[in-house]
Amino acid sequence: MVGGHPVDDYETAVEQIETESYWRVLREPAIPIILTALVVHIARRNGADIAIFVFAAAAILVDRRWQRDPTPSETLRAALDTLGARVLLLASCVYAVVLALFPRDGWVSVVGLSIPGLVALTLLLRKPDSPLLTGLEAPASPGAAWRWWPVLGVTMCLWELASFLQQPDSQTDSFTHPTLSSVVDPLLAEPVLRSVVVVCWLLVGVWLVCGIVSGPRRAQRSTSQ
Amino acid sequence: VISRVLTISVYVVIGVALVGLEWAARVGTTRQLPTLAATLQWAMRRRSSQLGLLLAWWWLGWHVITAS
Repeated sequence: MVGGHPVDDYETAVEQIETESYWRVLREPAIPIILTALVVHIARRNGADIAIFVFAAAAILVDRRWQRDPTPSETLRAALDTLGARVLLLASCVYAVVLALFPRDGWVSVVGLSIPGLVALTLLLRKPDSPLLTGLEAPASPGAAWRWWPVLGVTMCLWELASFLQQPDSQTDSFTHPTLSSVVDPLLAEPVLRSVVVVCWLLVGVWLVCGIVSGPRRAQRSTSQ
Repeated sequence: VISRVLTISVYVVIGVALVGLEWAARVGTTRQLPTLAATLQWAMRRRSSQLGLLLAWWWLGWHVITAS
C-alpha cells in the first residue's frame, strides 16, 4: 500500500521510485529544517554542532542514494521483540546511572552519549526505508490538527532564538534572556537528575528506533516481487 | 530580573502547553487531535524524516546533557 492505494505492480512501483528526481528530498521538511538550524549554529560558532548538522544533511542525501537495494531487517525486528520493553528500560537505567557518575565535561560523557546515537544510526541505515519498497503500509494521516504540534515546536525554537540573539555574544549566556540550555544547565549538574534525563533521552531513542524498524504493519502485495 | 523570570516563564508555558496538548489528545473531547507519538510516527513515513528525527534526538541529548 502506498498513500492508502494498493500496489498492483511492485516492479513498476520500484522503477517509479528509482527514476524520480534525486533532489526531491529537498522538498521534504528534513533538509530545509536542518539547513535553517545550521545557519543558527554557524552564528553560534559552535564547531561540533555545525559538524553534526552538516553530517545530518549529508547523511540524508547520501542515504537517498543507498536506498536502491534495501536489506531486510527481519532479524533486527525479531531481536528487538525478544529483548522486550523491560530489558530495554533496565539497560537504559543502568547505562544512565553509570554515565552520571562521570563529569559532564569529560570524554566518558561525550563518548557515552555518542554511542547510543551511533548504534541507532547504524540500525536505521540497515533498515529498508520506503513503505513501497518494503511492502509496508504507510500510516494514515492524523488529520489537520497535527499542526498544533509543530506550531508549539516552532514557537519554542523562535523563543530560544530570540533569547540567543539577546546574548552579549555568541558564547556568553544572557542573564536576563537565558536560552533553555542555560536554564537547565545548573539542574543537570546534579548526577541524580542527570541520570533521570539520560534515561528519558535513551527511552525516546529506543522508541524512535523501534518505531522506525518495526514500522507500520505489513501490507499484502498483490504480486510477487 | 523581571526579564529573566518572563523569559523562563515562556519556556514553562510552552512545556505546560505540550503536556496539555498531549492530555487533550488522549482524554480530551477533541478526538481529532493526534498524540505526539502518532504525529511523529506519521512524520516518520519519510526516510529523510526518520534520519532527521533520529539525528535531532541524538544531538539534543548530546548538546543538553554534556557540558561542552
